[in-house]
Amino acid sequence: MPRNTPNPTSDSRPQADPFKAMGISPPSRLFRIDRSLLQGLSPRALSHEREAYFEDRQLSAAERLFYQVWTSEGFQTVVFRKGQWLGHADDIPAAAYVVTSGDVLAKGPWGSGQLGPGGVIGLAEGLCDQPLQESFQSLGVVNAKLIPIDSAIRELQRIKPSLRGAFRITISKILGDDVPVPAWLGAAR
Amino acid sequence: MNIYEHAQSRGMGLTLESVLRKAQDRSHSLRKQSSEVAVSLEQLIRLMVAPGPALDAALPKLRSQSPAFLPKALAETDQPISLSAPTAPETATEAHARKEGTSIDPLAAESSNDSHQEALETAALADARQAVLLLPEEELRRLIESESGMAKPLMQALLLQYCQSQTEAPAKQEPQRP
Repeated sequence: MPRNTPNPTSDSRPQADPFKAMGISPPSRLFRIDRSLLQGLSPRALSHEREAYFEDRQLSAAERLFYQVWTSEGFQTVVFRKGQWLGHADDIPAAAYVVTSGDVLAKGPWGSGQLGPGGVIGLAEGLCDQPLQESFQSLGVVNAKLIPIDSAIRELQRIKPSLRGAFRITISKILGDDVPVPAWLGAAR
Repeated sequence: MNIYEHAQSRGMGLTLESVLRKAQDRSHSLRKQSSEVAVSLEQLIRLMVAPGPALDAALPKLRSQSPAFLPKALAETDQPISLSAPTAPETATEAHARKEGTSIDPLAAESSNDSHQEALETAALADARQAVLLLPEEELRRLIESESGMAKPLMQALLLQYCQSQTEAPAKQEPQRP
């Protein structure tokens, strides 16, 4: 059963305080999609039904994107138990994850953050062969969509260069313009 | 021989200051273009979450009625959004290429007299140039809608990470001291 996630604008920490038990301060950053906003929309909703729902609820870009990724049949779902690691700082990720339920603690040099549903771990870094800046550990049972980086790269090598350009720009905006993009992402023409 | 000496030897009459100034101007211009393309990432998001024939009708509505849909940076600007880089007046080189039916790199296209300066500026512009997407919106829309593989969900996941990075950005700028 999915967790009953509170509204991000309200108090959105898990009811039990796992941070105290882990001996760390509560995270200063939070990214979490309120899944309850999507409860009225079937995962198998047709395109026009999705659009009507998005419009009716005035969902944010992140909420809409999360729904699309969450319901994508192309990604496998994986489950992490409490305390498992989803990635370590300074490692180049071999897989990326999109959290669909549960919470993940992100710890980096600037402090800690909490990723709930909608949190994406290691996708831009993996595609760009860059190390993670943070370590990610599950705070409870976490469900996530698995994106193997090698198959993602193979897929992106297949698509048209112009569309790859959109990937390149998005990656640059996530990681920063100073991060070199790999040659296979190429330049848009 | 460095590029400055090379320019001098060819009688270009360039001073190092003028080259740097022009490179900085161009770099600033391209960075501005780059930021406009960054804004247009939001349009890419729209293409990804509501692709299809209804998109044309939905776009103005989303922009005018749904500030919550738009990240703050876009919601606060009145600038039009476009995935295309801003267009500049056609140069002689571009006009020639158009007549000949050949393609040119629009960023590198200058009159032939300026080609040496283009070479001098290349290194300074490289990073800004990397961020510019020279792709008409219609073309991108067509590409997205014709894509049946995993590219679309991958882009959706990547754009979700972009949204996440925008949310987290302020905290990342101020590392905690031990």
